[in-house]
Parts: sequence; C-alpha cells; structure tokens
Amino acid sequence: MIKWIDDSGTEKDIVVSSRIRYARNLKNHKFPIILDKKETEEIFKEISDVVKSKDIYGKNFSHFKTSDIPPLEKNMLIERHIISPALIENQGMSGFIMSNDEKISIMINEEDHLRLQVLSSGLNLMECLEKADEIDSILDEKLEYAYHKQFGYITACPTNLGTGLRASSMLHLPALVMTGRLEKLLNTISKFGISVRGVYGEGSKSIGYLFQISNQTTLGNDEKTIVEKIEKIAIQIVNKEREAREYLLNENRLELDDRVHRAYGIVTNCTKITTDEAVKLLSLVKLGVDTGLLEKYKDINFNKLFVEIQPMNIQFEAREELNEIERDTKRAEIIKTAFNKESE
Amino acid sequence: MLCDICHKNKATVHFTKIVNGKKIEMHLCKECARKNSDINKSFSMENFLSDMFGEFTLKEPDVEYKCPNCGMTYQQFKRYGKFGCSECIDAFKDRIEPLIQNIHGHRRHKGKYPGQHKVSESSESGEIEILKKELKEAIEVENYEKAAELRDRIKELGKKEEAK
Repeated sequence: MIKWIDDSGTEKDIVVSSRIRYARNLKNHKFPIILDKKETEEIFKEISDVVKSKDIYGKNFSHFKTSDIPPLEKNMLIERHIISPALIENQGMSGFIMSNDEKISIMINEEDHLRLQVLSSGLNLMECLEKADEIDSILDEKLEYAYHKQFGYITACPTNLGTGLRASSMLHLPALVMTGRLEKLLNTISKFGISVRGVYGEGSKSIGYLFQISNQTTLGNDEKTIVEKIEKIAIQIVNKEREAREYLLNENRLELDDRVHRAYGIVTNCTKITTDEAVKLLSLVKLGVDTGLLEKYKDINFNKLFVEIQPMNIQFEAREELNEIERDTKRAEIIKTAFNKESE
Repeated sequence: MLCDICHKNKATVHFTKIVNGKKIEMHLCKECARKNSDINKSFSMENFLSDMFGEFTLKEPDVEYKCPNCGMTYQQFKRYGKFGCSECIDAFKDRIEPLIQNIHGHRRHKGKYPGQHKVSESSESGEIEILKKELKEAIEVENYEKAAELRDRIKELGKKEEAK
C-alpha cells in the first residue's frame, strides 16, 4: 500500500502531490563525488545516529543502506517518489532513512550528503515546508552543515546553492491539454522562474496529463518566498484547469462525455494493459469523475492508482518478478478491482 | 554595469539566450567578449552546466585554481559540474560568481542559515558589519546593482535586530 497519499492537502481533484526537498552537506567531509567508501560509511553513521538520538516525528523511522535493499524494492520506492534514481546509482555508498508513513525521507550520499524530503498529497507546500524546516533545525543542532556567508548552504551542484530548497507540485491538467491552452500557459509560467516537466514520460513529454512544477532557482529568495510563489502559481494553474473543464462541459460536452466513457470502457474491460495506456486512460476517467460525468466512481483514489499500476509496484505487491505480459495482465486486474469495489 | 567575467571594465557587449525556456543574460566588456569569441556556440543540453563553466574560462590555464582542502582543480569542477568539498566555492570564487549570477539571477543568499533557530544577537550584528564593508567596496567600484542588494539586506537585518 502506498502510505503517503492520504487525505491531507487541498485542491486534490487537480493537485496530486506536493514535495519539499532540502539539500545539505556536512562541513567536515568531502562531497559525494570524490568520497571514498570509508568516509561514506562515516557520513551514513553520523547522520543516522543523529536521527536516532533525536525525537523527530515520534522516532518512527527506518534506516537502510541502499545496497541492502533488493532491486525490485528499490525501484518500487522510486516509483512511489520516496527515493531518487540518483541514490540507486550511488548504491555502493548511499543510504536512506524513511518515516514509517513514507512522508519523510532522508537520502544520504546521493548528490549531496543529505537530502531531506517531505511529501504530501494535494496542495500542501507550506505545511511540508514547516515540517522540513523543523526537522532540518533539529538535525542542525548536531550536524555541522556546510554554509557560506554569501552563497548560503553549500550544495554539490551550483544550481542548488543558497536555500538548497526545491518545492514542487504535481498537477493533473487534462482539460488544459485538450483545449490546447497548456502550452501558452507554460510559456508564461517559465518566465516566472518556474520549471515544468511531464511526469511518467520521457523528458518533458507527459503521458497521462500529469505535470510537475518547481522552482528553477534556489539562491536570492528566502524559503517562504519560494514556496509561496510555487503555491500561488499552482493555484493559478488550478483555476485555469477548472475554467478549461467548464469550457469543455459547456461547449464540448458530447465529445468529452464520449472520450471519458470510452476510456472507462477500456480500462474496466481489458485483459491486459501497458503502464502508458493505463495512465492515459485513467487520467481521462479521473477527469470524468471530477467533472461529474462519471460520478459513481468519485471514491476511487486515482492519485494512488497512478502509482499502484507502475511496473515495480505491481511486482512488489505480487511479491515476485513478473514478465511484461504478466505485469500487463496484473495491471488490468488491479484496475478492475478498484472499480468493482466502488460499484458494489 | 561591470563585465560579468573580469568585474573591472564596463560591460558593452550584452546578449540574451533562451535555453529551454530559461533566460540567460550576459554582460561583458569588449576585451572579455573577444577572448570568449566562441561564446555564441550552441549550448548542448546534456552538458549545459559544464558548457557554461567552459565558456567562462576559455584559453586561460587553470593551474592556479585548486581547492586547498580537497585538491579538486577548477578543470575537474568544470567537468563534473560539482564541488568536491565545502571549501571549493571559495577556492573558485572569482570564476564561479558570474556563473552563480547567471544561474540564479542573484549573488547573495537570503533565508535560513545554520543555528538560525537559536541565533544570538551578535551573529546578526556581525553580519551587518561585514555587509557594510562590502557595501562600501561596491560603491567604490561603482557596482550599484550589488550596492542596492547589500543595502536592502542590511536594512532587513537591522529590522530583525530591532524586533528582538
């Protein structure tokens, strides 16, 4: 089960998730790019010990060395956005600490010594920031962070200098895509120092109308200003998406209704389905539910389902490695089950 | 406005690039613009950062730029795009300050700092003193853009102190 996706956060019909990430390094150690094995272990121990010694979040944390985790599980954690692919690349020396509710993770020796992440469902950036800030301050009491008077927190890459903060939000924007309004909107957004990329797709190509927005720069504005900006822009985009949905319902209802029901027909009746197709169709069905065209299924948590049908998650839940056909079959079953539960 | 590379001469060559929707502005003096004549070569997206580093350091040998703490040379930093330790940033400061300006549009951090949650008054007034000194220097070299930034920062810190 994916734990971090729950009832917290607002605008959940459009905003899938919010994430805050702090990048930090320790002053008295070399940075991961030139570390030797011995020093990586010292760093892991140092950070891990501090987390254990402090009363953070009711001490509900588990500590792992990346190399101790089976491959299937590692990739499952990436799909759930709990750890990053870069952590796995460094697996000889990296580790992570994860809260039992999966909302907080601390990656050790990824690109930086320490990457603290706080996740939430819906739009909830300010609360994530507060939580991240609190944990960061607790760690700061025992760890000596690398900090520069002029350039702020020193990160391995100059693009993260200053606050070391990345605030991002994942948005579901089918109506903006369908009405052709998204591109124009994204061009405007990028002028505000916000970067946008597709989720579950190669490069910036988005499969199921899911997009992630985040701050492009980290130095020169304080944490709250950065987060407020992302949140304000997210709300603007949410409003534009609502307008586009209104427009489709008023001007193109028949077309929309047809597309939504066709998608519904396929996902609930197919015997096997690929991840790409499933994400795309579920995205349409979610639009149908959110616009009231398929109201019956309003209790399905689509944001959770998007993660549950990813290849590694399917195998993880099945507790075995499956080939492509087996995965596609399993995926069709998972979707059917989710819909059947609701129609019972 | 002073040249982004040498910080000495007046910038007379200005250009803007849009890379992946991100605007990059550069202001160079004639001399530095000539030295960096291939500055208009196209950016490769994969090596965007190392290209940027490269463009600032054309032709000049980098032997003298080596981090005394971890031993990373500026050449290595350019290749990896990453610092080797917390002291590289000072070792390469002259070279990377323009780069940081280009990436972030700022040269000075604002926001949280270590120990902020239990900060003592002395550290803030200490920072103000340093900033005042920098402000004086900035005015001397007629870098008014930087001066304005510093002035605002001093004001802000002053207010914080008063509030205590």
